[in-house]
Amino acid sequence: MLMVLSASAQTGATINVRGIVTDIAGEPIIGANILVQGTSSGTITDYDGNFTLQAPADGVLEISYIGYRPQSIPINNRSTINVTMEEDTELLEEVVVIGYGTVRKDDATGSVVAIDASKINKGLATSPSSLLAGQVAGLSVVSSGGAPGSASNIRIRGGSSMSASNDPLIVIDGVPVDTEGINGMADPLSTINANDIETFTVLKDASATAIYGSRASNGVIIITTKKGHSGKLQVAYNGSVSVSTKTGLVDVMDAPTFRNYVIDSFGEDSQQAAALGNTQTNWQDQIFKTATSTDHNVSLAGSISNFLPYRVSVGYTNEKGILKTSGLERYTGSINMSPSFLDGSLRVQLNAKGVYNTNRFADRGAINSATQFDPTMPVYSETNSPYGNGYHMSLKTDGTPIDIGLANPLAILEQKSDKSKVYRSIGNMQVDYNLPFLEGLRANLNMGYDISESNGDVIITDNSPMSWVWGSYKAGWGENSTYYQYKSNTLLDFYLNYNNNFGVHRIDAMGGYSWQRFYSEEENKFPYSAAMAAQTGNEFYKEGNDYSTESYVISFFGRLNYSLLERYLFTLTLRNDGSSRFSPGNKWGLFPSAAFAWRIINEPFMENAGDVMSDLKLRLGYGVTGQQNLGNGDYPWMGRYSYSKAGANYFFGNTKVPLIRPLAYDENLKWEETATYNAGLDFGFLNNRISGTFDVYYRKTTDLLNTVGIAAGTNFSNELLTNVGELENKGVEFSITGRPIVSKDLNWNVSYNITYNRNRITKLTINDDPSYVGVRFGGIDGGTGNNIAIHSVNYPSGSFYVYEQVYDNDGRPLEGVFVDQNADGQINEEDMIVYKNAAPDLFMGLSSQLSYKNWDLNFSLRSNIGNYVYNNIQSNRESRSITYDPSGWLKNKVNSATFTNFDAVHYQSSYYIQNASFLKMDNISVGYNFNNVSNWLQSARLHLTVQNPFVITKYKGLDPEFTNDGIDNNIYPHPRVFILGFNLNF
Amino acid sequence: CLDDLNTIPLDKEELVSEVVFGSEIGPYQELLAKIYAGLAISGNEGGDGDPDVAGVDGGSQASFLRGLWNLQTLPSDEALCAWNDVGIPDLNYMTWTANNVFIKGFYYRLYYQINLANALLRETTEEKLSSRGASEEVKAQIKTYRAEARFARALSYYYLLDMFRNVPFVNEDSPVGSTLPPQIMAEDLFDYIEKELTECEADMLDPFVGYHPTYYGRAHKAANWALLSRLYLNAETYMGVNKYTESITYSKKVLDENFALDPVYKNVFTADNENSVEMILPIRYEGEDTQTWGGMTFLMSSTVPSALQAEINSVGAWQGNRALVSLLRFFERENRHEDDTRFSMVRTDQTENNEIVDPSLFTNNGIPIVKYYNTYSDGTLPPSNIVYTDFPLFRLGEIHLNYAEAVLRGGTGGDQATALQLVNDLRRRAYKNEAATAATITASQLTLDFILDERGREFFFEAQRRTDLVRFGKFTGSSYIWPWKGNVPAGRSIADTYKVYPIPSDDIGANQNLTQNPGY
Repeated sequence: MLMVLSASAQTGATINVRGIVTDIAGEPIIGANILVQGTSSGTITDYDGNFTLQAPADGVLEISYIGYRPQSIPINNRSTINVTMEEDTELLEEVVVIGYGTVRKDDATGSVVAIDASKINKGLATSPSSLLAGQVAGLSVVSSGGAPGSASNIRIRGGSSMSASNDPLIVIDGVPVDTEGINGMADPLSTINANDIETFTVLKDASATAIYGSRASNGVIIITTKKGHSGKLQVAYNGSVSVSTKTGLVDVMDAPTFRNYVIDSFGEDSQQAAALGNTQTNWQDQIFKTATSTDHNVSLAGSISNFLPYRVSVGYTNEKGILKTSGLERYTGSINMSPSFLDGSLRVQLNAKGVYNTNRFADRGAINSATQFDPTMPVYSETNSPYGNGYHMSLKTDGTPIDIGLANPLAILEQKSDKSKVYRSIGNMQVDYNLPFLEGLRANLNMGYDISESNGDVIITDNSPMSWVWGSYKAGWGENSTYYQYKSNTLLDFYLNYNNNFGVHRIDAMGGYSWQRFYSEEENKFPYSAAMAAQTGNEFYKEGNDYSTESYVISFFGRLNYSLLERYLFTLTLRNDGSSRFSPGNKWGLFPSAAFAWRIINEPFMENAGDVMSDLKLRLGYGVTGQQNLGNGDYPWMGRYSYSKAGANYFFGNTKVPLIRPLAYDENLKWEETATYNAGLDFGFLNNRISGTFDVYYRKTTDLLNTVGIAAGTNFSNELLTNVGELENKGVEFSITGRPIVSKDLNWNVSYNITYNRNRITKLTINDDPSYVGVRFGGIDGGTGNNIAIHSVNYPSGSFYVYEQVYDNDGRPLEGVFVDQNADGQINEEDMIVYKNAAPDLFMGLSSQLSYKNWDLNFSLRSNIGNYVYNNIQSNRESRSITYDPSGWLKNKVNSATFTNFDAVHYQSSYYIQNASFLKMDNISVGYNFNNVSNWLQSARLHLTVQNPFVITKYKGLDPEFTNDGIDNNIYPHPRVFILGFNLNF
Repeated sequence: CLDDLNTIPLDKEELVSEVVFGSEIGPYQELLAKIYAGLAISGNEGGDGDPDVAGVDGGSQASFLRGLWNLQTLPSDEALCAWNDVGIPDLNYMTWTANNVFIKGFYYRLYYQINLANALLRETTEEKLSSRGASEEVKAQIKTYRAEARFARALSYYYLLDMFRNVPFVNEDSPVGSTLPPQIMAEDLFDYIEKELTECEADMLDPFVGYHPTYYGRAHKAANWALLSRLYLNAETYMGVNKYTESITYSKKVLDENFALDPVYKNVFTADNENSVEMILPIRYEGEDTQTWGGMTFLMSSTVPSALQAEINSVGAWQGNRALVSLLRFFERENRHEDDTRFSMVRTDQTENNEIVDPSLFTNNGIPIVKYYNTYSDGTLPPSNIVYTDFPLFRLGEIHLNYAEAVLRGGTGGDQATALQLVNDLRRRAYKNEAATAATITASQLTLDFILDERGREFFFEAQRRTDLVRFGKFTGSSYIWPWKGNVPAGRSIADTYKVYPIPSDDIGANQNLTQNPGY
C-alpha cells in the first residue's frame, strides 16, 4: 500500500528537461546528482554544470551534491530548469545529535561539536579515534604508539578522575559501548570501520552530557554511521596500499663506540673489557623492518523500492607493524536498514556492525632489550650452545645461562608468539513512532547489544632465551598461557518526546528510561608445551583461573528545551542513575544541568550587522555528572574474601594450606561527581565563511574516587578506593574555520583549534598533613620498586616527582648534585619536588583542504606544548655502574653517556624529565579526482598520502607522543606511512 | 527491573564472608595460614602477585622478612646495599624521612598482619561458631588458632614498638573502615603486648623440638616465651623501665625445654633446617609453593656473589648487599677468628677491597656474606632452586645471649655461672675441636661489650642488629662510629632521632590522631 501511494505521484507525459546547476557565485557545479523523485532515473551534471534528462512533466527533480543543500524542484512542464545550489556548511550542523534525540544547531545550548567524517577521512585507512586527532578543541587524542591497531588515549577537557576511568563515554548509533574493550584487541573503537562513520558528535560540557548522567564526567562521543538513502544504488570502493618505515633509532652506542667506552671506563684488563664480544650488531636494525599493509572497503547504499533504504559495507585490513612479527588482519562488516511505515510516522533503524580481528602482538620488551643489548655480541650463537635455540645469550663460565641476563631482542620477537582472535558485534533496533493522538509527540524504543569474544595464546618457546631469563621459573621452559574472554552488554531505552511551537514559544521535552547490563567472563590457563607436558607428566605448570562478573545501570532521565522568540534558549536536564556497583544506600545518584543560550544575532539591534556578522550566540551552562566506572571490579563496596593462587601457600607440618584473605572495602563508596561551569560564544562572519567558537570552562570533581592511603589498622589494606579528594580542571578552547578562497577552480578550507587545560588536585587525604607528599605511582624500568610519578595536592594529577638536578656552566648535569630544597645540609627525600607533568598545557590542531580543479591537497598538523616525558630509556642507559653486571655481561649505553659521564644511576634526577612538546604533521595527501569517467563509474579519486611525515620536537627520545603516564620505555614508535589509495564511486 | 541493581558476585571464588565461614575447620585454618604466610611472602599469588600491601612493591618493599632485614641491617654496622633504588641509600646512611618506601612497606605489612589476626578473632567468637554449628572438636582447634592469632598480633606490635614506639592501635573490637585508630603510647603498648602474650600462652601448642609433621611452622609456647624474653630485655629502651629479671624468667622457660644448639652452625641456615633442634619459630619456605622475591630469596640472592650462586643454589645473584668492614672487626677482635665456623661465612676471599670505597659498585667493595644455603646440610639439592630454607625468626642461640645479657645487666633469677656456660656453649659450637677449648672465655671476659660483639658474630645478617645497637646506646650518637654511618666514608655521629623510625607520612596524612615521632 505504501508503495502504491508513493508511486502514484507521476502520471503526466514525459518531457525533455535541461538546465544548468551553479553555486551562489555562479560557478557551475560538476557532478551534481539529478534524480526524478520516486524513480531510479537520473543524471549527473557535466563539466559546465549542464544536465539533460527525460522526466514526467509533473514530476519533481531532486538535485543533490555533496556539500550543498539538496533541493526538490517541481518540473511543472518546464523544459529548462536552472538551479542555484546553496552551500551547505550548516547541513551537518543544522541538526546535531545529542543524547536521546537531536537538536537544531541554532538551539543548542551546550558545548557540542559535530564533525563530518567524510570531510576528514579522505579514504585514509585509519582508526576512528585517529580521525578525531587534532580536529576538536578540548579533545585530546594521543596515540599510545605505532603498533598495528593500537589504541588512543582520548581525553575531553582533561581527566576528571584519578583512579577511575578518564575515557569518554562512546555511543555508537545509540548504544553506549564498553570502552574498556576486550583482551586481545587494543583499540575498542576499531570495531567500526572508519569508512562507515557519518559523523562524530563531541559533547563537552555538562549541559550537553548530563543526559548521560553517571557515565558522562569525561564527555561523550556520539558516533553515527552512514545510512542508506532513497535513489539509485551507489557502490563505493576504497582501497589502499601502504608502506610503513621507522622514523629513527634510539641513539645508543654502536659496537666500536661501546668497545671504546668500556675500555676507557674500566681499563683494557678489566673483567668488563673481557666480557666484550667481537661482533658488530645493530640490534635496532634487527628488530625493525619496513612493513607493507593493504586495506579494502566496499559499500553499497540504496533503497529497495523506495521503502527500505539500506547500506551494506565490508572491509578488509591487513596491517603489518614495523616491529618484526607484529601485525593484524581485520574483517569488518556493517548493515543498516531504515524502513519507515505508516506514511513515515513509524520509522525503524536496524544496525549491525561486526569485526573479526586476528592480531599478533610483538613484545615491546624487544625494543627495550635492543637498546640495551651488548652491540659487540652476535645475533645467533657462535658456540653451539644448547641453550637459547640458536640465539645468542649470555652464559656463565660453565656454559649455562645467566638467569638475570637480557633476552636476545630478535628472539623476543621470533620465539614468542602472542596471538589473539577477536569477534565483536554492536547492533541495535530503534523504533520511532509519531503518536497519532497528539501532534509533536513521538515515542522511541531502542534495543541494542555489544557482544565480544576473544581467544588468545601466548607461547614462549621452550629453551628460548626468554625461558631462561624471564619470569619465575627460569628453567628453560616457556611460560605459555591462553586466555578467553566474553563480554555481553545489552541495552533497552525508551523515551517520549514532545516538540511543538506555541507562537513565540517552542518546547521540546523528553523523558525516558534506560536499562543496561554489562556481563563479562574470562578464563586463563597455563599449559606446558607438548614436549614439557610429556616430560613432566603434567598438562599445566600453574593453576588456571576463571572469573565472571556483571553490573547494571538503570536510569530515568528527562530534558526540557524551551526557546523564546528564537533568541532565548533554555535547557534543563535531569538524570537519576542507579548502579549496581554501590551499596543499597548509595546506588542512586541525581545529575542535573541547566543552560541558557542567547542568540544575539537574532536580536533586532543586530539586523544591521547581518552583512558582516552571520552568527553570534552566547552560551552559559552548569551541570553535574558522575563517574561509576571505578576500575575496581563490580562489587567494590562489598566485604569479600579471596583464595590464593598457585605459588602462595603456607605449610603446617606436611600439609600445604592454601590462603584465604579478607579484602579491603569501603561500604560507603558513592558516586564521584563533577560539576562543570561553561561559558561559550559561537560566532560567524561573512555568511559563515569564517566561523568559530570560544569556550571557557571550570570543572570541579568532588568525592573524587581515588585509591589513597587510609589510616593503618582500619581496613584490610593500607590503600582503599574511597571518595576523598577533589580535582579541578580549568580551560579555554578556541576554534575557527574559514574558507579563504571560494571559486570555481580553487577552494580552500582551513580550520584551527587550540586548547589550554590546567588540571590541579585540590584535596587528596582525609587529613591535610603538609608532610604528606602524595600518592606515588608510575613504575620505571631500572632498579626495583622505583616510581617516578605522583598525585600531589596543588599540582596536576600525574606529575613527576624528582630531585632537582644541578648543572655546571656548560649545562652538564653534575653527578649526584641536587638542590637542597630545605637547606638542611643533606639531600634526602625531603628534597624531592613535584616537577612538570605528562599532559600538555596547550594543544592545537590545524587542518587544511585545498582543491584546484581535479586536484586536492589536504593536511593536518597537530601540536602539544608543555608536555613532559620521563626519559627512562636514557636514565637506564647512561651510568657507568650499570654497564656491567657482575654475573658477566654488558649493557649498552646511550651516546649521551659520555656527555653526562654519570658513574651511578640517578633515576630520580629532574635531568630525565624532558620537554616533549611537538609539532607533528599527522598526514598530508595529494589527490586527483576523475569525474564522469564512464557510464558505470561516476567518479574516482586517486591519492598519495604520507602519515607522520615529520615531527618537530626538542625531545631526544624516539617519539615524543605516547601514553604510559609519560614514561618513555618500551614505546612502540610511530611509523612513517606512505599510502597509495583509490576511491571509486559507481 | 530495579531489583537488577542488587547484584551479588557471580563468581564462586569471589566470596562474601557469609559464604566463607561455616562449621568446617578449613577456612579458619586457611585464614590462620594467611597470617603465617604474611611473614614469608607478600601476596596471594606466587611471586608476590596480588599483593597484600598496596602502593609499594610487594616483593621488595612489603615483604615482612625483607623489610625486617633492611630496616635492622642496612643502617647498622653490618651492611651496605649498592642499589640506588629509592629509599635504599637513605637506609644505608641513616638519612631516611617519613616518606621512605621501605619504612612504609614494613609498617603497613605489620598492620596488615594485625588486621588478619583481628579478622580471625572476629570470625571465631564462641557466638559465631555456635551459630554456624561448629562441632566441639572444631571449636577446640579454633581455640588454639585464636591463641596463635593473638601471638602473631603481639609479634607485629612488638616490631612496631621496637621500630616506631607510639603507634596506632586496633584490636578485634575496632570497627572496620570507619573510625580512626587512636595512638597508643609505648608504655601502654608494652603492657598490651605483655598481657596478650601471657594470656594467650595457655592455649598455644606445647613446645616441640625439630620437625613436627602436623605443627611445624606454627608458633608454640616456647615462641611466646622467646618473644617475651626479647621484649623484656629491651624494656628499658622502650619505656625506661628495666625488666631484666622477667627476661631471665622467660629465657629459662625456653632453656628448660628440650631445644639444643645445632651441632653445626651452618645447618641452622640450610634447606633442611626444619630439622634443626635449635629452631624455635621458623618462617617457612617450600620452593614453588611459597614463591617470593622477598624473604629468603632476597636474603640469598642479594648477598651471594655471582661466582657462588651455584654453590648455594640460589635463583639469582643480584648482589648489592655486602658487609661493612665493621662486621669483619667483630671477628678480628678474637684471637683465633679463622677457626670460627661463623667467620667462614664472611667471604673476604670474594672481594678485593674489604672497605667500601664506592658504595655504588657491586663488587670488590665490601665483603660478601654467604650465610644462607638452598642446599641440604649434606650438600644435596632440594627439588628446585626456588628457596626451601626456613628463616629462624627465633632460635635457641638468642636465648643463650639474652640470658647472659640480662644477668650482666642486673636481672635476678639467673646466675653468672649459667650465663658464662651459655655463652661458652655457643662459642664451643662455633669453634670446632681444639679451637673450641681455646674459644672458651672466663667470667671476667664476659662483659656487655663482649656480648654485643658476640651477638654480632652469632646473628650477623639475621635482622637483629639495629635493636641490639639501640639497646647498647651505640646506634645513634658518637659512641660508636662505623664506615658510612651518616653518609660519610669514615662515619660520623647522627642524631638520636634515628633511634626510632618515623611513622610513615601516609599514615600521618590519613589519621589525625597521630603525632609524629620527635625530630621527623
